[in-house]
Amino acid sequence: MGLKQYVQNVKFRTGMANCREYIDLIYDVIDNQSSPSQEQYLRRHLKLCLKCVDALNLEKELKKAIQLKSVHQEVPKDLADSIKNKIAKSTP
Amino acid sequence: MEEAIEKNNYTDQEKQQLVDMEFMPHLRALYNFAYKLTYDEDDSKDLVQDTYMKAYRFINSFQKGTNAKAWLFRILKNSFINEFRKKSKQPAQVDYQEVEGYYNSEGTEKPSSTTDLRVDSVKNMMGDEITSALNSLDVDFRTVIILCDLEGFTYDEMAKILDIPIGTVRSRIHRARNLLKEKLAGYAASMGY
Ligand SMILES: [Zn+2]
Repeated sequence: MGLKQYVQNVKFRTGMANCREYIDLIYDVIDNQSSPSQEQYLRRHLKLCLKCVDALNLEKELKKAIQLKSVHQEVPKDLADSIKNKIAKSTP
Repeated sequence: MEEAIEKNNYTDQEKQQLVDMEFMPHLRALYNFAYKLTYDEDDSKDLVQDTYMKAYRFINSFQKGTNAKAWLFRILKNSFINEFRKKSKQPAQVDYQEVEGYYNSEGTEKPSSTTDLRVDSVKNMMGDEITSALNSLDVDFRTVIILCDLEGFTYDEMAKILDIPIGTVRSRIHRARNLLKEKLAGYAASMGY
């Protein structure tokens, strides 16, 4: 762990972090990159700070929207076969 | 970052099995990634074929049981940078490392963009709006959102796919989301949400 991250963790543990730092934690939480104790620090802050509750909800909703609503491209029908053919013909 | 590469000696049958069972199932994800990078069907097809041919050529460096999807994404992204980006008429890229450094330095406040974008406006957005906001981001920012939100890679996997430190992945995804929110806030305002 780098010094910066160590200092950050101490701030979270002692509740001395500011909202901008909790926003970073929010990203880690919605991306499943946080530890259980980090999630606990965030929950503790969310009890006191509506601004960060709003931010968390917005980030969650945005991530969900990207996952569910962004347009998927249909794979061309012949692509899989053409790849398999090319592989069959080549010698690695 | 790279561990010593242990070369395997797969039999032809094992190779075929790896292609069928571990590589081909990711075709749809790879094609969508390619399309979101190039916006061109033919280029996407070329890029994906190229990716599979390279994967096959270097199949002995692939460790069975490791993350084939991340490996294939890394190959595709490298092909895109080395061959396709050169072809395209994109203007010179900004050095994002520098931009990221700027936004992460102490005392610089990030522009607040969340204030005018609300949860209910995001819920009401159409797929096209989300897609075109995503498309309007520069390729490096678009890429981290695709890898993280659409494909669910971890920051660590993203660092390996993109060849950048994990701290850079983190700051790039933060920056990308702020830019996306700015775009979407623009839509929301124009739609009167
Ligand atoms: Zn807060």
